[in-house]
Amino acid sequence: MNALKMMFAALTMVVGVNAKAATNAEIIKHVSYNVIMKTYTDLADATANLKVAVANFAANPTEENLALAQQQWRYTRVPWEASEAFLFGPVDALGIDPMLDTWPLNRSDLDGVLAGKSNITVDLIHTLGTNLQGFHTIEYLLFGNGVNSNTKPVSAFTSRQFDYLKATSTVLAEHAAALAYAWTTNYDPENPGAPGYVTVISQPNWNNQYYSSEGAVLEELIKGMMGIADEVANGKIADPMGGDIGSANMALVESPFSWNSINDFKMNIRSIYSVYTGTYGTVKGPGVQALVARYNPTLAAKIEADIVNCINLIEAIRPAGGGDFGQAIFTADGRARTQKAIEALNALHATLEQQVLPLADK
Amino acid sequence: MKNSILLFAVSMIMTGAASAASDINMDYVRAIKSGGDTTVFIKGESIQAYRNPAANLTEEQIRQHLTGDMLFERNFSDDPTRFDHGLGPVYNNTNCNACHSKDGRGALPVVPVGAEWVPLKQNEAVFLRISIEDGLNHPKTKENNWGAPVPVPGFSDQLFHLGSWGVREDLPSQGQAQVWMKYEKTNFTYPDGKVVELRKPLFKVTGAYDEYFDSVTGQTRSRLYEKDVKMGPRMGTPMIGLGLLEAIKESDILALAARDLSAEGVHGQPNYVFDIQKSMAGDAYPVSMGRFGLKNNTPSVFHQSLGALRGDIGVTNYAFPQESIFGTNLWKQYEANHGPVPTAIEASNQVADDLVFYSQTLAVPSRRNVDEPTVVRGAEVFHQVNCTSCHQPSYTTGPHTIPALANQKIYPYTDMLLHDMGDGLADGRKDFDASGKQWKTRALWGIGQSQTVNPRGGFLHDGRARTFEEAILWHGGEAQYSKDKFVNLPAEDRQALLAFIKSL
Repeated sequence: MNALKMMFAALTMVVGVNAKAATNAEIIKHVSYNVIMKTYTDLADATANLKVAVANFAANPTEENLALAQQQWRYTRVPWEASEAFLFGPVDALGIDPMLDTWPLNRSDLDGVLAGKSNITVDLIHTLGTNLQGFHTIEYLLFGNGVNSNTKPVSAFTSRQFDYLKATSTVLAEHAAALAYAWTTNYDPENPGAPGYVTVISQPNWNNQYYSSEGAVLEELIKGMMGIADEVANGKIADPMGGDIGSANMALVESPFSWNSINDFKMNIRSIYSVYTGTYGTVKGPGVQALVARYNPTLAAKIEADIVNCINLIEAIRPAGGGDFGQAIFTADGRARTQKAIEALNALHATLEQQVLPLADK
Repeated sequence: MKNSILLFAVSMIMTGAASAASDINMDYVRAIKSGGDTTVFIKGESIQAYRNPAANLTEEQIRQHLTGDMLFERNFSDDPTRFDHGLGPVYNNTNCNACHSKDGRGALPVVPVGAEWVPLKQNEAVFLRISIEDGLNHPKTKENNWGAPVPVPGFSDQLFHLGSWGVREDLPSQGQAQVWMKYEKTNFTYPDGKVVELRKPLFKVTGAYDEYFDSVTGQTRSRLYEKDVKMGPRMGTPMIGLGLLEAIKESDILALAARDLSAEGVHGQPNYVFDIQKSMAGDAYPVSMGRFGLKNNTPSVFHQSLGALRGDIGVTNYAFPQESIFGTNLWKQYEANHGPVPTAIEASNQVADDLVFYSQTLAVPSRRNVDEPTVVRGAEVFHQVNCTSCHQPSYTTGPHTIPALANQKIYPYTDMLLHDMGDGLADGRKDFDASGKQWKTRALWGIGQSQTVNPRGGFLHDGRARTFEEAILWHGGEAQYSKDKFVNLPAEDRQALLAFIKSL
């Protein structure tokens, strides 16, 4: 694999760089290759595994195989949600994000397809709306409606549901593979000569069509972190929560069928942690933290602690008696814990905006 | 941070040879705050460059803007049990952002290497406008919708290629017809020998819902396939600064139309179009000057955005309460198969108003690198080759219901008028007073960040141009004079002009 070679090359370049003394170029290179591109290759692998797990369950519908498929869906959510601090480049330009992660899914149309007579194949899925495929369609089919539990009996699966699961998980893997390929190898399907996007973003200069300077890329990274902090606090969490218990709205909760919302949110903030600290899996190198540390080491350490605190406060939303975010927002104490997470995320957003963003082109 | 604008003595420069009528205030050369006090300062580049509320909104207005922002990204559903229902039954997309990517431009479908015709699928940013052309000019009357394009019988004036499940029993997720696109590629050669490849998207339509086989002629027929039907693609456009364009004084636009630029072959003309707000207020002659849409076919952000909500997404609202396919045979088929479609208005008045407010208050980003010698040179070349004749650099806005938009010195680079842009760009479709060759001068503010916001984002009305240079090379008709001047410039001056556009 070309991508693997590139990654090893990148690793030998980055590992051993002292994070404190890292240059902007080193930060950009490490985050591009070892955080962003690695996240996308992990996502491609995970979706390929999900496709296999779904096919195994469809071929041999047992409780155990259902549990394995459900578990693989959760694993596959991890790299995707952990990519949402960097929703720029091919994921957006090639229209891949809505193909993978459109919410809400269109349940009435999905029911229509399942009740219909069309052959449910990969080709059919290709013609269907973004809200009839991707993570949440698979989630609904695998976990059930999420109202009283986050699973469904094997006996409830119909052959058309199996067909739909197989087809849509195949298409999910196709899109994820295309996204990884766009980062590693070629970002423009219309131009075979175009390099991987990792090359574009890690080599900013005046002749680069997208990024004219290192400051521009750093700004993109910082704005990406700000964007997901804001989205989780004021969109994903605050919208379903509403102003009071009476206006809490389950229909706005993302990943409600699997009760995976809290994990989703945590992984979103994990993506901030990855870009900020330059940590992904077992690899560590210079992240945006190295930029902050150049001017203010105390602030650099405080922001890392703030990010970890946000992740912990999101985990603390989980009701002690079971359930997930969608259950917590309907109790007074759950809402109080949720409010704490919102406030911490907004504070993090403010710090990034006021104290980190100005450093991007210092 | 350089938040302050450098004040230059106002220098009125006369264009020597061409036309004494084109007096342009050259302060635009180093002007940074393109949107006046609404401008946001973004030093680098980011996909978020267009996603900012105007800088001078009140806290309460920012709250409304952010509510609108959420609605702009809302995926509408056609599930009647959900709060966000309203999608369809036919549509071009499920949310606003899908065409106006991160509040910026859309992109044409990917045509993989070796492919020819590709179908428009989900999540495309382009659609076709359609109408019947009889070649005649008609006075504006209530009967002809005040001079609006003549809708195609059984369709309307827009082709909806997607549909809710069950609209087309034979074609899942399809709407009125299937749309296909391919590229026609040509080369442009500069006098100095440099070659640039240009591409033009061509469209065809198949699988219309009213299609039938005519055994007499041996042809597949649909009302859509008849010769008098004209189609023109429309690409999602940037959302920044729209409220400011709304606040430009009508007298200023008319003064620009009154200039004699015949020496350059330039004749800007306003469009006069149906105005839904006047109609709602009971006005006997609900017609106003057009300001939005690629042919200036809507008069206000309210009309444009709520028309798009009802058309592009199929969400009815208090300005446009009826589904776009209401009463057509497709509608009747759908009702026959699925029972009556509820006729209640789908978007609440608050949702509609928040979306309009959002669309009026997106900030224009500041200019960048204005002091680079190349950029300064390019700004001068921009006037030297008469781009400024249509891309009018600056205005001071008049009153507006949103005080933050009133009395602002702005630099949008548009005269807000229609111009014949030549055969290369023509779509042959009249739209109120606009001919099949006329297009509105596009505002250029913020354009330098277009492809950071959407790397595949395309320029011109159908997104055909991949670069500023391609966009310029497509200019014909009234812009031929300027284009000829541009292509005959020394290469470094052409580069400087492009660097100036990049700085906007």
